[in-house]
Amino acid sequence: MTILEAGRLLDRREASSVELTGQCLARIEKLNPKLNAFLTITAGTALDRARQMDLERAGGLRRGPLAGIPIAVKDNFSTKGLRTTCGSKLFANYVPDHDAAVVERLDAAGAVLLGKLGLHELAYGITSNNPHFGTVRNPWDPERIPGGSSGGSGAAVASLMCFMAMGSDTGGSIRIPASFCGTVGLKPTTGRVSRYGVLPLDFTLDHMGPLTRSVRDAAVTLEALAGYDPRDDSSSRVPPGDFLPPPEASIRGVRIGLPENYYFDHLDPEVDRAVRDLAAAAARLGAEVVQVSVPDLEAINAVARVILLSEASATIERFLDRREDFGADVLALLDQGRLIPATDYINAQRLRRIQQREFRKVFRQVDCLLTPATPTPAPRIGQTVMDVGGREEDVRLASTRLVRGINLLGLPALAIPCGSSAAGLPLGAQIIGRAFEEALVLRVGAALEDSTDHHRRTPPGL
Amino acid sequence: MKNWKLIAAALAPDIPEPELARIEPPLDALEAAFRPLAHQPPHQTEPAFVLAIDPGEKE
Repeated sequence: MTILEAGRLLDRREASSVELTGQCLARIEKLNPKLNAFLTITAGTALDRARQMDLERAGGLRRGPLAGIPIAVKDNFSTKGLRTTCGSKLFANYVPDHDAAVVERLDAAGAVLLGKLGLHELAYGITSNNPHFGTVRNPWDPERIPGGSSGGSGAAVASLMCFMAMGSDTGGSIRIPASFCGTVGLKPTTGRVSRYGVLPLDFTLDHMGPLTRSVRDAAVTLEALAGYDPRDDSSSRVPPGDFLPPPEASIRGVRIGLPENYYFDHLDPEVDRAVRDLAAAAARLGAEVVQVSVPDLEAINAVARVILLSEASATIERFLDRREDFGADVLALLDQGRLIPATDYINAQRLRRIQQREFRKVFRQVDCLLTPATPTPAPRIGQTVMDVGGREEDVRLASTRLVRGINLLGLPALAIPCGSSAAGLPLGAQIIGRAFEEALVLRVGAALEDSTDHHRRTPPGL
Repeated sequence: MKNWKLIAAALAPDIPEPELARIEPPLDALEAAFRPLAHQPPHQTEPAFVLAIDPGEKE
């Protein structure tokens, strides 16, 4: 069931928020010992909140589509009075005295917070194999990673523990778990959603967005979250507008670019076929699917990695005298960042301006791009290298190379399920749009979703 | 290629030798990818610390 479907049940009094919340809590109790998606469960306050939302609804108050809907947030979003670990030993006992802006907005929208979700340590990695709080597992195959860093968010939504989970995305950390777990994941344009109150990893690459069971659920969540926040220097004054696609969203005449370079060069053949099938579906719906050349993504990724390593190390440097408090993989990245000179960091930021300008030219020819989100389905837990279309690659670099550059460019990107592997694992596609054109990206995603049933699949045995 | 041991000795002497050895290959790979790009920006190009993205900007 999606947020919008649950909302209709609430409107018709065929279900209550207390019932929806109770069902989610029961699933968490049953599945979390196996999947480790939740780090903190707030059952008591969630049920109290659900009762309040039911009373409001009975009294005629309508807050919007998220009112009374059980949701959860990644454990790097500050929650007043509730432990916020960022998946790190450094913050194991940190209890913020304020809510993140996203948490404030979800609260104002009437959402019911079920708890805080596990993540890769410091949101700095793609496995969510956390040395301090345990391994988050993929609901489709518990021996596989859910992706990361928002791994708990992907696992919780895919296993129906909650209707929506907030994630953060610095180099693909919303779209990778969405792809590996078979959910929708939206990384909005830079500045669209406030970063205030989220423990920072990278000041110029971090983005906040939802993981959901449908594209329209991502749209209604974005409507609740979007808007200017003076507490975030990157926050945009661009008016949010309407993001929710209509019931029968049309993409007739929309120009969808299928990159002829980079994105399809080294892929698992099943991913290649699934994304091309999705492009064919778009064409049948009347979209104009065209081959398009994109700028050098290898270069864009290199620039993004210099910035990521430098900014993350600058952010965490004051804790680096506590080396024993970090996992080995995160410490290795933080050490790399310490050895990059300031001149490289500044030149990377200068290159970024040029690359943004160059990439915008793609959108003279097309309205959006359709690409794979990850080159493979979810790797196994502990796997460090994998075969990708006949080429051996590092798991982290392979899983990030189709998504990382979009953070550098600041563009909106939506991950949607587009099929499944022979082994039954989800496969993900990515729709990339012009800055602040989330509405179009969501409309294309909704039309494709309406024409397939990939988002309706649920993990076996759950 | 850069001598990461000398750089670490100056900037981050607390990195233990075995851990430094582990991060040298990824640093070398990044160096190989980034160095040819580093001096491409025209002289007047400013860094993009704050992203100046305008809606509808289509070039």
